[in-house]
Amino acid sequence: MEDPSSSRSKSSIEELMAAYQSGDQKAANALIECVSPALYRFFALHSGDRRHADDLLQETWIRIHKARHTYRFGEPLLPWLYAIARHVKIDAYRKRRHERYEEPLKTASDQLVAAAGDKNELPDLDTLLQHLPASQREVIVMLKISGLSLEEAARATSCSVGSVKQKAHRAYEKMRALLAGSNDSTRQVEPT
Amino acid sequence: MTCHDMNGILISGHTGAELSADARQHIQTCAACRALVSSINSVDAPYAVDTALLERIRGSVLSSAAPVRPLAPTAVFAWAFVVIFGAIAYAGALRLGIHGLPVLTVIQRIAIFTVLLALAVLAAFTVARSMRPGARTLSGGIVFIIALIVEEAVFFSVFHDYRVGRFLHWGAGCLRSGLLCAIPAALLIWLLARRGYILAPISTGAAIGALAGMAGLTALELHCPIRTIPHVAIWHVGVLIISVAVGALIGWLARLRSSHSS
Repeated sequence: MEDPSSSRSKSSIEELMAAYQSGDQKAANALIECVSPALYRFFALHSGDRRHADDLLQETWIRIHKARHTYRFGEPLLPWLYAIARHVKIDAYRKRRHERYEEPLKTASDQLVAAAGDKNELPDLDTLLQHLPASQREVIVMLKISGLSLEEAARATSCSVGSVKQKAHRAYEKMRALLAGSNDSTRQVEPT
Repeated sequence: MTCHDMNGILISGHTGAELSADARQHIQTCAACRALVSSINSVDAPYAVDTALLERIRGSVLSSAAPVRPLAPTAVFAWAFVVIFGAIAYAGALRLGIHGLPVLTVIQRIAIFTVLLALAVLAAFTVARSMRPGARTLSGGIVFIIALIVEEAVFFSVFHDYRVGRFLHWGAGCLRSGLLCAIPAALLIWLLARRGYILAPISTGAAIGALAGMAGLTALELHCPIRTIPHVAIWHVGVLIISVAVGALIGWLARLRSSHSS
């Protein structure tokens, strides 16, 4: 289920990063290929706009390239990568502040029913995540999709492990409420 | 087992076959948790990235993938910052004249300079860690609040003279001298810190300001013979407050500039 950058283990992407630092173009290429899908998903789930996610991914790689000397081999790579990606996302958010990123929660259940109701299925994680506040969504994406540990997610988001746990806890409560709402609504529209 | 307990299990990363018997039993009886676990387990393959986009990324990265030397360990930078702090504080005090040290008792000396050194080490490690993305670090604002509270507490406990004297005249002179020591310290620290990749310029600016301000404050403690509480607590500590404010402001301007240029 977790995707710490495709099928490669965390230690092997750290080795790729070290080789990239020493100018190995093959390693840089392999790193781009194995890390980009997870980063792309991170952005796509936050912006909900593929073109915007494309721009954010490209900008992230430009910044990773500029900052590559600050990675130390032996340290976990994923918090380093996601800290940079997160700041790209925050900078983009500041630029597009006038646009609405958050969905109003009161209509979330209806949208979940619309997303999953036709097939009489439960909504998947990506659909649920669209209805969480940005800070909670970020933590769940890191923990459940990108494969970061609690400690790594805390480093990437510059907060404590306790704060990450609290955000994840609130996110699960909200997801449970959304699922309960969508279940009730689906049952109401089902022919008996 | 409750839904609250189930959250803890999900946060710890167990969602599949490794669930405990209690958790599995709870899922069977609780529809909400069953739906939640099922949704979490529905994470599918990673999104496909457009090949044209990957080509563009490769083009921008591989064309300039020259070898780089990894940044020195955090401790190396932190101790370099502490050396800058000490050198500037001592050089500043020498230039101003060391008239304050002789009027301090041994206990006052130990209390004031030990605390200043400890706070400088804290600020130095904060700046050094902020040079590396994804490193655990305190925010510059927290370092400032700790420094402010601890410094004021030390001054109020070791000095007991509440006379005001020539408050503005003496104070303005000390503030100016302290800030003149803080400026070169801040410049040297910034020159080293910019070798890293700073993601939070306002917080880092505040931490650099705090360290530079403490260099100015230490120079004043060595130089200034006036040991009245109003003078020390306001004008000496004022050097720290102004340095942090200016550091955070410069950080904010840097962030504004980089967001306009990117």
